Amino acid sequence: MTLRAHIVVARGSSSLDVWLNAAPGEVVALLGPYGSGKTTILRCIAGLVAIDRGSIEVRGETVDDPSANVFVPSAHRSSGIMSHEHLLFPQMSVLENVAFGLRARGVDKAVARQEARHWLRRVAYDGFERSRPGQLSEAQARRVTLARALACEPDLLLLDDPLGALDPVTQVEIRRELRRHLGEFRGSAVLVTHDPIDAYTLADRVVIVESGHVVQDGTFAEIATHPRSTYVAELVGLNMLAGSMMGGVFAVDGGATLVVAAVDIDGPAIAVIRPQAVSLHATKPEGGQRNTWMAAVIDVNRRADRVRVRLQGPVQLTAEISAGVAETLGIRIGLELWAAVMATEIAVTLT
Amino acid sequence: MVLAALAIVFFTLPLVGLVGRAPWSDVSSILRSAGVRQALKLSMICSLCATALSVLLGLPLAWLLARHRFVGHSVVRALCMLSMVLPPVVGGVALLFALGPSGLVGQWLERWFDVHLPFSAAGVVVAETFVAMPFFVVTVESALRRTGAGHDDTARTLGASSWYSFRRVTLPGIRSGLIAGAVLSWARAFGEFGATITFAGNFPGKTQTLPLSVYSTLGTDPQRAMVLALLMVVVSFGVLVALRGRWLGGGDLVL
Repeated sequence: MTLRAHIVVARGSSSLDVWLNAAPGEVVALLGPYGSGKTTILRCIAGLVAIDRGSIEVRGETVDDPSANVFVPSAHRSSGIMSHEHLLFPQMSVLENVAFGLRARGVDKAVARQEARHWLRRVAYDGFERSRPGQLSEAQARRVTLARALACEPDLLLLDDPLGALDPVTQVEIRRELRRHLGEFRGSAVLVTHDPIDAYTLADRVVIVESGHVVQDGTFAEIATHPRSTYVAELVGLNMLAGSMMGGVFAVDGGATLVVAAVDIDGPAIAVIRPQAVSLHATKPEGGQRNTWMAAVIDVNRRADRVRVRLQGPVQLTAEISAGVAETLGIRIGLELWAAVMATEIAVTLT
Repeated sequence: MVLAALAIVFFTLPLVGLVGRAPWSDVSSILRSAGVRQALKLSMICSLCATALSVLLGLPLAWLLARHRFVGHSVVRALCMLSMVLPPVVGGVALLFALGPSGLVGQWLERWFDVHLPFSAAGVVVAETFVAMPFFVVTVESALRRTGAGHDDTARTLGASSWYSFRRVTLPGIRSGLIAGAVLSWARAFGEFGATITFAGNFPGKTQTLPLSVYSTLGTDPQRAMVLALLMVVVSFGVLVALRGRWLGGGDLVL
């Protein structure tokens, strides 16, 4: 394990008590509402906040354990932070920003600059070395922040809402860039976000944090099918289909196509469909339904008066219907029926 | 609008009066006199020393107040800012009782180190620092608060020691605040009167700075007092304008 942490922080009325692990190469998303303690978890791992109880271990070395009186200061932990408040040092050039971590560790100036140039080029950059951060666009600033975090070659990459406060087009650009670097990154990464799409596209595993506690931990698909609370269901209980857009049609990876309402975009994308938008029928539905297909029920999960039905067929997804409808249709594992989704209910995001 | 104009008139009028009544024909001879040059030199040296002391001690204090929460924070803050609102004479008296020959600390200073602060040039520096440092501390503290701790945190996660981060990130980040604070405290030290005359006395050539000299000569030689006053106006005004224009880049600082 690169990261093994039990973080307990008492913060007045609310408190934080979270277990968190990350394997080498793994990207773990901390997903939760604002104020749920996600950022504090990152700050604890980075050594900016001391934990009150528990312990934090990075690559087998204990960096924080109040019971054993161990606290390794931030400067001696190998973690790089990329934050949505990008916090580039305004009075230094872009190159000096990226070289800062190496210089702070005592690396010779020329060597540090050479290394920084290398990282700047890797985040697809050239000709900005001498610029001041204030002259950069938001997208450029994010890339430089990422380069600065990676230049120290940390064991842990801590991403604090790296796509927050960006316009949609830039978000797509930076998300792509992040995915590329996370793929090449050998250490572990912890990604804090409140956007399920970030978690879906960037993370291997999702940890849902709600008011200071982990409410669920698993792969995106596991959580989407078996959300443990209404909040989780609403947050990640969404159908996300990877595929690509072409001429107003979304081609799901694996073959099927969906007619969608968004027509003016092309390229790799994700289609997001709310389970409530998937209707189930005993016979082929007539009328305005633009997407219909035959599917088999492979899992049924009932919560209060709502029933989540996992479907197998040309499109893999989960439908959520009322208990009454489920009873009428006689929902059970193995049942074959018709699924339908209106074109307007499919939201497409480029990736 | 009318009231604002009134305020401007209120500030300009004394200057106009001073300029209008100045004995222009005698200015150069008065300025060249040994007494004036001595007072100017003393004023400059003492106020610059006081500024240096204010920066040396005030910077760590401002940092402590801006970045750390501790028990008695507001009490410490109030104590350190007290001399800003205290009548300077009271400050001088207090200094005398603390550092004077029979004072709390003064008697030890005298017995062990043979240091006599009152009625010496060093005493002028002490008195000026006492009233001037809070201006530096307040300005720098607010600059530190404005830049926040975010950059320091980032620097620390990148492997910077506290000192390295302070030097490379914190200080450059509050550069204009540092300059503004130093100028403000220098201006306060340069014009300091009450605490100086109480604690250091008014001995020409030894502790008589320009403001004291203005006061002393007003009764005996008003012409000379007027020229000295003009000199102070020119020096202070010149420094303010030059600094604001050149180093602060007409920035967001109130100076």
